[in-house]
Amino acid sequence: MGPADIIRIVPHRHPMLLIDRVETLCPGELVVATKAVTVSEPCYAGIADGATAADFAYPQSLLVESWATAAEMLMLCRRPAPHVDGGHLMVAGAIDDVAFHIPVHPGDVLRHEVRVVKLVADTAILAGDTRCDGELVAAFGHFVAALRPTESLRAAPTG
Amino acid sequence: MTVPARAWGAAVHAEVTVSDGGEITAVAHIPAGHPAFPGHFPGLPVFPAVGLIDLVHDCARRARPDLVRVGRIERCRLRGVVAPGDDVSVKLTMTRTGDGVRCAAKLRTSRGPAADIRLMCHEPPGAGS
Repeated sequence: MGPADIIRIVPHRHPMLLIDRVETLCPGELVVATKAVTVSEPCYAGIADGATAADFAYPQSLLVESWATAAEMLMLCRRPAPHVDGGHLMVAGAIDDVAFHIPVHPGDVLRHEVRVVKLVADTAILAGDTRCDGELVAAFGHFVAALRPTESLRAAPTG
Repeated sequence: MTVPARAWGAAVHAEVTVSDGGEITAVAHIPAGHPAFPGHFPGLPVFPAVGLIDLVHDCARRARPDLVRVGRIERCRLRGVVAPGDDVSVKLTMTRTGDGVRCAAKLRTSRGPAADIRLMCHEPPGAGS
């Protein structure tokens, strides 16, 4: 599955659509997705002359968001939510026990694997990892996500 | 000193205060024009949870600029939505342990709790010795 298929399932769009392909999708069980890191991404806009190799490390927050988008493919594949007016979205409740191992850089292709640990109604506990050329980049120990009505994500006005 | 890649550059401005006792407080304004919002999500802009993790790390680095990378997200519990225009208050404590520096933060908006986040940041070799 490529981007055209992915945006039929998740509501993320550029610049927050952070997976490129889905290689394996077993509903209720497993997803494997990839993302190519490129130097033309917005996160590198502030890089100046004289930057070091370490400065080009892909931001850890975007790595987590990318893995979580793969998780979202797994959560939403049976009930797609390509638009916010579709009635429901995936909401993350907990992102615990994420260990970062090696940094990744432009030119690297991330391979995310997300497994369902437990599924109860519309709530799932997920785990998995991200690898690059077989090397462990990050391990995700405990990610809790649920399908919730879109309205639950609208911030209540504060007066 | 060069500037490393950041998820959204300097899109979130935070006023950070470090007390004599070591507690860090900050207020970060989430601008309506934040670059993540067009994609997260069209028609319903919600500040990404990972942006809150970034915010805690940024605050920690005001006190300890050498804590360049997060080693582990020990815990991140998401309590409420952060929306365009919100001011996010951060209360952060940093504790050295055998594994690095634990950064524990509570984040709130005017509507109530937004997140509880605990990060472990590795110290560079020789730091503080």
